[in-house]
Amino acid sequence: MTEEKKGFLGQFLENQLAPGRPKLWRNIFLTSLAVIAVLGVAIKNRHPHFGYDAYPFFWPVFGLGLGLALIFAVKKIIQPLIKRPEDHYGDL
Amino acid sequence: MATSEFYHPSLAFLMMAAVLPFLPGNRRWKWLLLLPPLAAVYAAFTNSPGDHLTISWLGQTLKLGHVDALSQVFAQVFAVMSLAGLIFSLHVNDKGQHMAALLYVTGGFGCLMAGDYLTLFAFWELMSIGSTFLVMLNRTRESVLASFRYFLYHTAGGLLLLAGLLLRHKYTGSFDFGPIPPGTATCADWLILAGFCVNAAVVPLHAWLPDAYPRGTVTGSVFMCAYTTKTAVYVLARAFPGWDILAVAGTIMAVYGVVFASMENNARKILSYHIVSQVGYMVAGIGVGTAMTLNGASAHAYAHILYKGLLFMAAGCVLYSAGTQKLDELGGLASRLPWVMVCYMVAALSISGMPVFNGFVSKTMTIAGAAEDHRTWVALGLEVAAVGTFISVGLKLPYFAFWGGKKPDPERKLKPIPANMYVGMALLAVLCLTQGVYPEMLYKYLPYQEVVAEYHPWATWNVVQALMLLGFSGLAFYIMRRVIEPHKALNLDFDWFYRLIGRGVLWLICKPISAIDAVWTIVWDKVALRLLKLLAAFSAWFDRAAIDGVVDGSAYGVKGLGHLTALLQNGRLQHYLGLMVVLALLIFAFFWYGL
Amino acid sequence: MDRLNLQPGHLWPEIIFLALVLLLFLASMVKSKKTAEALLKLCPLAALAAAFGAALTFYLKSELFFGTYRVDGLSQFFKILVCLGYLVTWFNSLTQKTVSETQKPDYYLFLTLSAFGLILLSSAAELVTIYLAMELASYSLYILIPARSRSKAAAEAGLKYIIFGAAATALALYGLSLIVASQNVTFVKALAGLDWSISGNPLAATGLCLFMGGMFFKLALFPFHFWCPDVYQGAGNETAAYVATLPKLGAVIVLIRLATLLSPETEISTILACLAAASITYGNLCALAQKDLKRMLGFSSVAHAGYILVGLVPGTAEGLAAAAFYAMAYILMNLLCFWVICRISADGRNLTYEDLNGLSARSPLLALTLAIAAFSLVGLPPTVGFIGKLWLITSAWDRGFDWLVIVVCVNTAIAIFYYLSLFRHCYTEETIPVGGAQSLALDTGAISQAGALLLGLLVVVLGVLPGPVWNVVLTASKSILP
Repeated sequence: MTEEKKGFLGQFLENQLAPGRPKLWRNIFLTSLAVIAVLGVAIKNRHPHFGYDAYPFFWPVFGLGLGLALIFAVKKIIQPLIKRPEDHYGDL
Repeated sequence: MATSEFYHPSLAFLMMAAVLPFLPGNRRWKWLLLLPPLAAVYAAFTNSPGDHLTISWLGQTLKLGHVDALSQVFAQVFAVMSLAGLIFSLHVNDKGQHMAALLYVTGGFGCLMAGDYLTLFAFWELMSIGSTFLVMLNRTRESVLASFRYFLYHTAGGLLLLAGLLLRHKYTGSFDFGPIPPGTATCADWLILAGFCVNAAVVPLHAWLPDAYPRGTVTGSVFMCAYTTKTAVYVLARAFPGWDILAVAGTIMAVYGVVFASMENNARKILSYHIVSQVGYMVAGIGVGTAMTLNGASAHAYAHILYKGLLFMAAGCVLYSAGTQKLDELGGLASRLPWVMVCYMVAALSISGMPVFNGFVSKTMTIAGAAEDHRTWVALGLEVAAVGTFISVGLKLPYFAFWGGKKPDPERKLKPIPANMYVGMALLAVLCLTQGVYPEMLYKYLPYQEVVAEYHPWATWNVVQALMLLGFSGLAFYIMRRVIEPHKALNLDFDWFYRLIGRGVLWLICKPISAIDAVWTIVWDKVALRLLKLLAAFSAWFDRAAIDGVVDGSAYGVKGLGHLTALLQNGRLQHYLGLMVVLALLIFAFFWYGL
Repeated sequence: MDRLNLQPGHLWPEIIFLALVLLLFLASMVKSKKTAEALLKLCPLAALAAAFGAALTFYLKSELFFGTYRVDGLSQFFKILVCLGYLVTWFNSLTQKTVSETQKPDYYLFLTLSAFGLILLSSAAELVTIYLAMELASYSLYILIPARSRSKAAAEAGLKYIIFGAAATALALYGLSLIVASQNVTFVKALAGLDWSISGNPLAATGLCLFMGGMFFKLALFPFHFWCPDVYQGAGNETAAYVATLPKLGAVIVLIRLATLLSPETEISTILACLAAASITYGNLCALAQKDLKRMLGFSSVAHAGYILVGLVPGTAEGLAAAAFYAMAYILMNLLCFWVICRISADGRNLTYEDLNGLSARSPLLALTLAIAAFSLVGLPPTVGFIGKLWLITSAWDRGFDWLVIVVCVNTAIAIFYYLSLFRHCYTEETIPVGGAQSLALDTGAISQAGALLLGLLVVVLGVLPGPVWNVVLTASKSILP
């Protein structure tokens, strides 16, 4: 088991896997999301494109909702229909 | 010629490709590879607009050096990309791969500078050949088969283009390459459009892209992701701006690409589907056709080449180092390939449109332009695609490649990545960042300068909106990260239809046509061949008996006559004298008195 | 109004050659061989000087010796040709084996005297002068022919030449007397424009025809040609080289001058055309049957005499120029042929076609130059023979002599056989005949190579770039026509 010499960045990233660190990062993420949402309410959209996007919470809802819907639709509905074994065409 | 400077960027690439096989075997020739891209960068900044290099060939005027704002902005980014790509591939010893890349880039530049369809077609085919080899030279069974399919498909696309341009010549009498107003579409224009759409990977003609790009060489795919599709975007921008069908097709492409990218397991295949999606943005922009969306399409192409190249470079580094590009086999690599991860993230955030990176200043211009033009569905579709982009390329790929919930495994062997690959990635990453922070750098070269001032990417609302969109999409990913976990699978795409057609044609040739051929061969043998032999025998007899007889006969006859006449010279002086006097007097008398 | 008008400045070739003749006369009397050889070496230098002198006086137009002697472009052109031909023959004769050592100075003396006679003939502008000059040239040749030691054939040839020549010149003299009787004047210039038709002036017409007969004898035109093959065959190779070429020049220049008397309507033109056609056809047909090279060349010269006459028949300046040009071409081609024959025949024997077998292996240069000469004699481009024939044909076409042109073309085809036999035997035949000339040492010395090369180059170069020479000849011809 050879120890790989790591540069400062590699060492830093490895350290982030220590217990407790991932949770820390998650909390930083969620906090920044809240800040962004508040900013979104504060700063108005001068030029709405779609009509609906004049509403303050449009974009967060859009991003989250669409993201969830997309992943669900793709992985649970579409992929099961078109999934085949890797060597389906005999190319490999 | 001080006011009119022109240097065709293809020239050095072509010469390099021609000279390469003859250079000696040691490694020093690799440094020469950097000369053509440097020359091309210089040319891209200094070529003056106009029609240069018009040559006359077979009665046609070919314009090899058409330079204007649109071609210059593409030429710039092509040149920069060629430099980064060649730096990235300096470690490759296989001259064949370098030649293929050089020829490929030659074709790309040639298409940009083409002022007429014939030149365009020639360089189009050159690109197709170069890129075929970039896939084939990976030298695995999978890659060779993929390159073959790729070549067949692109040749078919080229034939569509050829048919279109010839038909167009018949209708309009010229080969000039310029904008075609949407209302005046003829059959020829549709054929040309189809040919361009093949290279632009417009759905449903796109399936060659995810089939071939993941199977190219590590360095080859980096080139391919930039040139084929962006050349197609350029030619679409030049010939078909404002065609509504492109707006629709582009939106479909954008969404289609991210849908498939979200379900794929192969890292470079995800990126390939992403090319389809991003090119969809550009095609939609061209379809809408306003000055702002055309600017947006150009800007997007510029930025896309840079960050897509970087994405493929980073994924290529992972493949080179870890030996696989399947996400389910990767993971836990962040601490062991930190800089690759950083470069990847720079590109990933660019492609997602995160402020500070160049994707932000280009993508949003297209969407804003579409919305300005009251194309609500186009703009909406592009926003949907933005969400999907961030989720699949910005989050899914790096998460499962570099982290994936796995700890770094010290037993896993990672090949050390050569320095030139890092340099290539760094070059592109720096450009992505600087263009994002200082968008003027990009906007200065856009073709429609008059509307550039109308768009302000760094307006506060734009930044906040982007952050909101991306942030909450990221939340969606975080919530669904188990669901989106990739597994080994082949997702059926339109290539199922292509293969069906291919098999059908093969069956058609094998069964009925070969049956007809068998019958024909029998007929030929029994009847025609016998007849031919008979005819030959007769001709030979005629030649010997008749013709030779006459010719030889006359020759011998004359010779015999000669012998006869020579008898007159019998050596007797008295006969000579007598003959002389008699003959002379006879002749004289004949003419004096007879006539 | 003619005066003596003696202008030495116009007479350079004559003076030089006369001096040369006198020197050679001295050389033939001198006991010491060394002096004789030294004097002999003067000949080529003198010939070059004479040619140069003729060139200097090219643009003159003077009449000397009471109008009997004309110095103009045409005469000087032919003098240059005679001098150059003499030069080549002199080099050719250096290695001859058949003339005995004691006779050598005499040989060269008479060779030079004959050339002198021809030079005089070029400028002779009056019928008696023409006759005298011609006789001077001929007598010298009568002596040269039999000078092939220990050869009965040479003696026979010499006899035939003398007697035939005597008969021919007798006829010429008779014709001359008839002309004087009818036209009362013998100057060619004065004779032009007079009536020469048989109906108007039968005496004059007959006289002219008979006088021309003498010229035709020198030219070896049918039916005055019967001496030709036998004489060539009998004489030594080097002598034959001289006889086959230079005297014809003299005949041609006289005929050119006399052609100014003709016009296409007179019967004489038709007679000339008929003789030309008969000569060409007869010469070609007989040459087909020959095995001895010199005999073949003799018959071929009969045919070529006919070709030259084709140019004289229409009586236009282009026709005369074509005849003069073809005469020059003919000299070149024949000199080249004889040059190669003399090199092969080291002991002076007569050669047959078989003696040429395998020449391309023994001496590629000689074989090549012989091939060039053969092609030129046939009239294939890019040789001078082709250009010459082309101009002859174009001058005769569309002037009422189209049938003559057809005869020329058909005969060119017939001639291909025996000329290209030369080429065939050199290059493709390998069998060495028993006792053939292949056993002799081939002369491949510097002079032999240089001579062959130079003549071969001239044949080709003049065929490719005939312009300058043609312009010269055309100017000269135009100047003598009224």
